[in-house]
Amino acid sequence: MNYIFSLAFRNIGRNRRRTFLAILSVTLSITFILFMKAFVTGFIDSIVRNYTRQECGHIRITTKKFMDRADFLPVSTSIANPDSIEQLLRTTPQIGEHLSLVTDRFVFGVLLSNHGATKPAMAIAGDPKNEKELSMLYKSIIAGGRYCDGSREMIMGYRLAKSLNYTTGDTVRVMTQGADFALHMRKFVITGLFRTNINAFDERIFQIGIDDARILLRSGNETQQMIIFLDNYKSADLVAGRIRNVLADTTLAVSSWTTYGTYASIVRMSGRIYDFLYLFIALLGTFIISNIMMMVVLERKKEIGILKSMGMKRRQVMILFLTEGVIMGILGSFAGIIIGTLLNALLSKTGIDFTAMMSTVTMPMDNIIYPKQDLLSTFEMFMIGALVSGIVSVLPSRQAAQLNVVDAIKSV
Amino acid sequence: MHFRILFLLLAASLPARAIDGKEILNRIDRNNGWKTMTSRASMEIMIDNEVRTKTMTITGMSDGNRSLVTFTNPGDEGTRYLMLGKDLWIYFPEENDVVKISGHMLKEGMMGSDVSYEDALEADQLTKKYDVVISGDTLIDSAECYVLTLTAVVKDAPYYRRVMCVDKKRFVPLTEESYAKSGKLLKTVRVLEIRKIGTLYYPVKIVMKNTLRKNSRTVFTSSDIVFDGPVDPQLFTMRNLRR
Amino acid sequence: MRHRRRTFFSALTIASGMLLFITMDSMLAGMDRGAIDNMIALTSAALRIRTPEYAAEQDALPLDYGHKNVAEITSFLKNRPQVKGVAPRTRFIGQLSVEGDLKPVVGTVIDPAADSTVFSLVESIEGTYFTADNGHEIILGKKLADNIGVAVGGWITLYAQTRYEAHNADDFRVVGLLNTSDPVLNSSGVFMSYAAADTFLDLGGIVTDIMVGLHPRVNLHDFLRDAKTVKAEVKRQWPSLMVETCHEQEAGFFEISKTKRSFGMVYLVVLLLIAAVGIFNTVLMSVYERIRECGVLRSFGLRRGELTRLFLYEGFLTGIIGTTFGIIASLCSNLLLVTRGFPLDKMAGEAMGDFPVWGVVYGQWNLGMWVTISLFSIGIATLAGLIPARKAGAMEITATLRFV
Repeated sequence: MNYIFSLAFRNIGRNRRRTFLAILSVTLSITFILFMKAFVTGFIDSIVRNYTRQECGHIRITTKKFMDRADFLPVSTSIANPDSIEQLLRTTPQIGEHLSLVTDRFVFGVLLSNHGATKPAMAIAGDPKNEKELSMLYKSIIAGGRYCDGSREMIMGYRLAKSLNYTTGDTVRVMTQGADFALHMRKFVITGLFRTNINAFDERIFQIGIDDARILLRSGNETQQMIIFLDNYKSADLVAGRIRNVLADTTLAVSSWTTYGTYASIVRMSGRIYDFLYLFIALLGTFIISNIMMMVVLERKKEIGILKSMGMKRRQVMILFLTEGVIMGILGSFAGIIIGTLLNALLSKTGIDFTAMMSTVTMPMDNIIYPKQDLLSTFEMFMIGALVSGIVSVLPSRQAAQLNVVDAIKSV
Repeated sequence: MHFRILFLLLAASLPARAIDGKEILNRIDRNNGWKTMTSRASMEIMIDNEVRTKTMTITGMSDGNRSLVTFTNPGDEGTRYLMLGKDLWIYFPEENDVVKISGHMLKEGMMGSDVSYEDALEADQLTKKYDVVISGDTLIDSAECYVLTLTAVVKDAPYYRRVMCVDKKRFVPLTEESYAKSGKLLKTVRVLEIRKIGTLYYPVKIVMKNTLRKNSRTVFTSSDIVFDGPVDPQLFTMRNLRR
Repeated sequence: MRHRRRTFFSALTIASGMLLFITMDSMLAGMDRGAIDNMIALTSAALRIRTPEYAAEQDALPLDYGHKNVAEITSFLKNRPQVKGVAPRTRFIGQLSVEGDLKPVVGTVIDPAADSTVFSLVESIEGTYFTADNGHEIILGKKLADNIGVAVGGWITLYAQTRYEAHNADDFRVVGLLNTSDPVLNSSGVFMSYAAADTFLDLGGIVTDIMVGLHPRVNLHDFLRDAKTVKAEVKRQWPSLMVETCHEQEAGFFEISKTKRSFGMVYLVVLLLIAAVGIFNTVLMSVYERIRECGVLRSFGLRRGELTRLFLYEGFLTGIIGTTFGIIASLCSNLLLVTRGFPLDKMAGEAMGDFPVWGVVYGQWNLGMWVTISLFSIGIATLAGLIPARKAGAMEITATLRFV
C-alpha cells in the first residue's frame, strides 16, 4: 500500500497548479468557517452577556410565589435569607467553584409623577459596586452625569426624564407599595441620565441602590432576586440543577437564563442553524475537490489505462485517486486551520467595530464584537474538511477504477 | 334637618306603620352625627397567614368631611393621612414630604388591607347611589335586625348589591355583604362589638373580608373614642400635615 | 464548444454555486417571514388603530377613550382592496381567582366572528372557539390554564372593575385553550367575547383597538408596503387617529430579524466567494490545459489580442451557460420551497423551544438577488478566462508548445 501513497503524493506534485487550486478552495472554506464560527460565537456571547447581566443573570433564584406573579414584579414575596443561601452555595462542591458573582436585585414598578404628569416606570435596584460591572446602564450614562453610587441617588432613562420634565440634579419622589403592602415614598436625586438606544430602557427605567430600595420597600434584609453569574454561561442549566438539589427550601425557584424570555431560545436555535450552515460551506468547499477530481480523472484517462494494463487492480486505482483527494483535503484543511486561527487571534485582540450599524439596533449588544475560537470546533473543522474531501472524492475515484482499459489508452 | 323633624313627628303621630329602607339609613346616619371625633385605632391585616398590625390615632371633623390619621406602629410611625372631602394626602415622615393620592390609587387596599381608601372616603354616598328596600328580619348575636337590600341605581356604585343587617334598636349595621352584578359575594363586613358613647352607638370592632382571596381579612378596632370634644380645625391643614 | 466536458464542468460549478446560494437565501428569508407571519396572525395584525387619548393612557388599560365611529372606520377599511378583515378589540385588567389567590391578568375582548377574519387564533385552539351563546365563555392560554390547573370545560372566576369602576366578579367556562407559537399568548392570554364583556364589564360596546388584517403577499416587502398604504389612507380621513403598522408595533422584533438577515448576507457572501474560487478554478484549469493549443493557434498567426478575446468569449459563454443552468435549477428548487416549504420543526427538533417559528417554512422570491448572482457568475467566468489567456499570449510560442 505504501507505494500507492508515494504515487499519490507524486501525482499531486505533478500538476502543481491544479493541486494548488484544489487545496486553495478547501483552505478558503475552512478559513471562512473558522472565522464565521468564531465571529458568531463572539456575537452570541455578546448578546447573552448583556442580556444576562441586565436581566436575569446566568442563574436566578427567587421565591416560587414571585415566579407566579413575575409579570407584576411583586415585592412582598421575597427571599428572606439571601446571605445564608449564598454561603451555602459557595461552600458546596460542584457549585461553589463555578460561581463568579452573586448579587441581589429588586425590580419593581412605580408611578412617578411630576406636577401633574404621571408615568409608570420600573426601578432596578442592585448593589452599585456590582451593577457598575454588570449594567448596560452604567456604560450608557450621558456626559455630564455620573453613576448612582451613593444613598438616595438614581440614574434615569433620558426619555423617561424628558417625558416627566426631569433633568440631572432634580429630586424625584418615588412612591410605591412596599413589602408590607403600605404606600411608601422616598426622594432621590438624579445624578445622571442614560441613553442605551433601547426604548424599553430609556423610556421606562431608572436605577437606584439596593439599600435605598430595601428602605423604600420596607424589605429588611430580604432580596427579591438573587442573580448568579458563572464562569461559563453554558453550564447554567447544569449548575442550576445542582443548586435546586442542594437547596432544601421548596419555596424557592431556581431558573437558568435559557428559560428566560425569548432571546435565550433565539440563541439556542441560532446555534443549531449556524452549525447547519457551516456544514454547507464545508460541503461547497470540498465539492470543488470533487469537481477537480472528476476533471482529473478525465485528463488522466490514458495514464489510468496504462496503469491498469500494467496490472494495477481496480481497487488500487480507486484507492490511489481517493488518497489524492483526501491528501488534498487534509492539506487544505490544515492550511485553513492555520490561517483561520491566525485571523481569529488577530481579530480577537482588536475586535470588529459595529458601532455604525448599532445605532438603530435595539438589541442588547456591544458595539465591538470579538471573535472567539475554541479548540473543539477547530478540531471538528479539520476533521470535517478532511472527511468531506474524502467523501466527495469517492465518486470520481470509482469512475477511474471502472474505466475500460482499452478505451482509456485510446483516449487523448 | 327640616324634613327630618317633620318626618319624625309624622312618624310619631301616625299609627305604627312600616319603616322604610331610606329611613333606616337615615337613622344609621344619625349615629354618625358627631361633629368631631377622636379615637385610637388598630388595624390587623391578615394575608395568607401573615399578620401585620397598624396602629393609629384618628381625628375627624364631620364639617367638610375631614379626617387626620396618624400612624403610631413601628415601621409607619409618623406617617399621616389627611382626608379632605374626596382628596387624600399622605405625609411621609422620613422624607418630610407630602404626596397627593388620586385616581385609581384610591381603589387599592389601604395599607394592604381589605379596606380601600375609597371605602373609607365613601361616607354617606349610599342613599345617592343605591335604592333601599327592607327585605326581611333576622337575628344576629341575639339582636333583632332589619335586613336591607341595597341595589345600585348608578353605574359607578362600587358594588352592585349590598345586603345589610341593621340592629333594630341601635341602628348600627351588624353585617354587610357586598355582591357583584353576577351575584358573586365580593366582600363581607361584620361588627363584633358595639359601644355606646354618649348618645351614639359606635362599632368598635369590625372584621372585613375580601371573599375572593382566601385567608385574607382585616380587623379594625377602635378605643378611647371621644365625640364632640374640642378639635382644632387647623389640624386639617397642609401646614399641620407637614409638621 | 469543442471541449464539452470542460465547459460542462465549469458550467456545472457555476450552476451549483448559484443554486446553493439562492436556495439558502430563500430559506433564510422564509424563516424570518415565518416568524413575522406568526406574529402578525396572532397578536399585531397588519394595522392597529387607537384614539390618541387611549394611546396616551394605554399603559393603564383604561376602559375609556374608545373609538366613536367604529362602523364608519370599519366600512372604510373594508372597501380597501388590500384589506382582508377588520376586527374590534378591547383590553382590560382583571384578576383570576385561583385557589383563593388572585392572579392579575390582562384580558382581551374580541368579536369572535370578526376576529377570525384578522387573526388565526381559531386554528390554534384545543377545545372549541366561542359558540353562538358565548355569554359566560372564556378562552385561556394553554400554559396559563395548566398553571392554574384548569382544563377545557372547567370554570374559573374572574374579577375585574367595570367601565364605571364598580367591582364585579363572575364565573366563566373555559371553552378552549390557546396553543400557539407565541409563548406570551400561551402563558397569559385571556379572551372573552363582547357579548360577555358588555355584561361583565358594563362595556357598552366600547372598542379601544381596531385591528386590520391584510391579504397575504408572497414577499414581506410588498405586505409592509400595503400596510403603509392603508395607514396613509386612514390618516388622511382621520388625521388624529393613532395608526401603527405591525412593523411599528413590533419594532424590536423586526430589528432582530434585520440584523439576522445582514448576518445571513455575510454568510452568503462567503458562500459566493467560495463558489467564485470554484468557478475560477475550473475555468482556469481548463484553459491552462490548453496553453499548448494556444501556442499552436498563435503559430498559425493568431495575434495576442485575438487570443485574449477568444478566451474571454469562451469564459463569457461558459458563464452564460452555467448561469442559465443555475437559473433553471434555482427556479425549480425555489418553486418547491415557496409552494411546499420545508419542515423546519423537524429539522431543528426541540432546539426550537420558544422561538416563534412553527411548522413548515416557505421560501421567498428575491429577484434582485437572482440578477446579482447571475451577473456575478458571468463576470467571474469571463475573468477566469482572461488570466491564462493573457499569460498564453505573453509566452513565447515555443514555450507554450512545450507546456504540459
